[in-house]
Amino acid sequence: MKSIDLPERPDWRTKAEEAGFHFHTIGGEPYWDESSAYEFTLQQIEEDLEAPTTELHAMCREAVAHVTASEELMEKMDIPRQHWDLVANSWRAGEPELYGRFDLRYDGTSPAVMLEYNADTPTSYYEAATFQWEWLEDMVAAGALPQGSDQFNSIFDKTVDRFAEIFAKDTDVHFASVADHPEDLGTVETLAWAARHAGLGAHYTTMQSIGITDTLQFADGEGRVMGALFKLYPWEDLLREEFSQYLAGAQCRYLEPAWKAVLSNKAILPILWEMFEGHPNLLPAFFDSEMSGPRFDRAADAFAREGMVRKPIFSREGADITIESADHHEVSPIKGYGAHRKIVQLYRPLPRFARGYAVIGSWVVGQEACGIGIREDNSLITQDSSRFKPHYIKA
Amino acid sequence: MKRSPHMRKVTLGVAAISVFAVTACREEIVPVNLIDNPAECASQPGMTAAICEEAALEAAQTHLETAPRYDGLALCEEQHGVGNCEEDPVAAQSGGGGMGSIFLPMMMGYLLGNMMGGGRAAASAADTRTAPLYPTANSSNVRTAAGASVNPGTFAGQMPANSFNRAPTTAGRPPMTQGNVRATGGFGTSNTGTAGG
Repeated sequence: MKSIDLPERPDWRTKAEEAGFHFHTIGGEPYWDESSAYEFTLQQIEEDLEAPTTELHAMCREAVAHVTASEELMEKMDIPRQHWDLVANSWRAGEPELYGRFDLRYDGTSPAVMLEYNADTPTSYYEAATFQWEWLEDMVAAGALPQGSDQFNSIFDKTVDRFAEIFAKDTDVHFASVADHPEDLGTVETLAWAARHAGLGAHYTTMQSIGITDTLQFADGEGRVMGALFKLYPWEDLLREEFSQYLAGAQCRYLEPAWKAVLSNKAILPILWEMFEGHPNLLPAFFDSEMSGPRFDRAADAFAREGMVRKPIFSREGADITIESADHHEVSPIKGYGAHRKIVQLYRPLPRFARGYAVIGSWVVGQEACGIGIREDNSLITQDSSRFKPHYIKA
Repeated sequence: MKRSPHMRKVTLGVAAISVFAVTACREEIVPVNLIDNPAECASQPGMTAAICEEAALEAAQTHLETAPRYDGLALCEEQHGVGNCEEDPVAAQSGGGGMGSIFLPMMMGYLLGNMMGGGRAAASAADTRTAPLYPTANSSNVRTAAGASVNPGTFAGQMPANSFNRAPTTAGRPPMTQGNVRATGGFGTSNTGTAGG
């Protein structure tokens, strides 16, 4: 894994604009940044990223089975009691998952470790699945990368296949995201394209315009009953809002399924460590109220030596996270997640490459790893201001 | 709305009763057959095969539309008895399949009322009314979705006409049909509401 400076395609902004990728620049700062890219060997991809990602997802599924069978753990995850059945039943019924993205810390040599799992509302899907691939094709065609250069990226094709597994042909699926949020819209539009390729009908609604009908079903902004809903909206919020009382009875299939509420919650990190202590792709993690006892003692030296990251169980885009180590103290922007229960995770700083700190977004579609996207930041905590960098596998 | 032409295999323990006791002075009392076997319907006084066929279809359709629905098998069996409930076929067909959360009682026959009254034969299905019957958990009575209760063992063959009042629809509308939206804005209100990460 190396950061390599490369010539930018002269027309990439035009291509991005034509594709509707308007958020390639955010607040005057580049978001899509192809002035450099990450180079991997095939072995790094297959052995260090692909296989561990698939394994991590399988471990997460085991953890969901464990949590949904335990009222004590549902309580610790702050899943509202009135929705325990919804979450547990969605797991027992085998409701299928669509996609997710692990954030992995990987430096090219030591094992990739899971920082967290964006299992419910992962974004940056468009740039990872589609625009990154076009970049590779253009670069090879222009001779800027050698023939035979490849990319770990079958994200879009696997999503098409997965949609076709989940839904019968011609099923109408609604895609919802919050209003006035172009990045989120980019993700749901790309997913909707995948659904159409799978022979499904795709329809858009904003979260805010969803209605409840006299038959207690959900309707889109045009009043049409929804039978299947992909919502780019976190379960932990859904379960706390007014219409949550109708979720179980609305005769609607949800993507992601309700059991993803267990995985998008950072309380999964200490639970995974409890179940798979010592796994090479996990970092030691604990509820911050449980930093004692024999299990913590086994990790205490590492915590004392390397420091820890403290995170609220609900947080996204790097908000409300503190790093506490001997030579480093950093607090990320406060966004109001801090009132929730917190967990601590062993601090393993992101590797610094030539252009910044890199974190690997490793995509899962269905139950298998199928691609990566890399975000780079000047800060150790990756935030929504980070830059997206393309990657390639060396020919 | 997907409609099933199939009558549920009946499990009512009492044979069809057809008594046309007439109460001429009270128009709201109508003769009623307790049908638990469509094949026997036509042999009842005042009925024909054509009327019975149409009535059976109507009852099955009413069942799908107005049967009491429960959020789970246990809740349904608590009301209607163990083994008397099944997964909602409407939800399964309209895309809610696999959710496994909505259950309704099996239909155990239906009331067939002759609205002509006075012992006259029904001329057509338009002269009849139907109401599906459901088992109850703690008694031998069966009841309609709207709450009219009948004891098959002592049924006297007549009932108030309002026993055929239709219960509110409990089935959902199929996806993509126009729903009657009664409120919006119940999602998307969280402070932490933007997705991402």
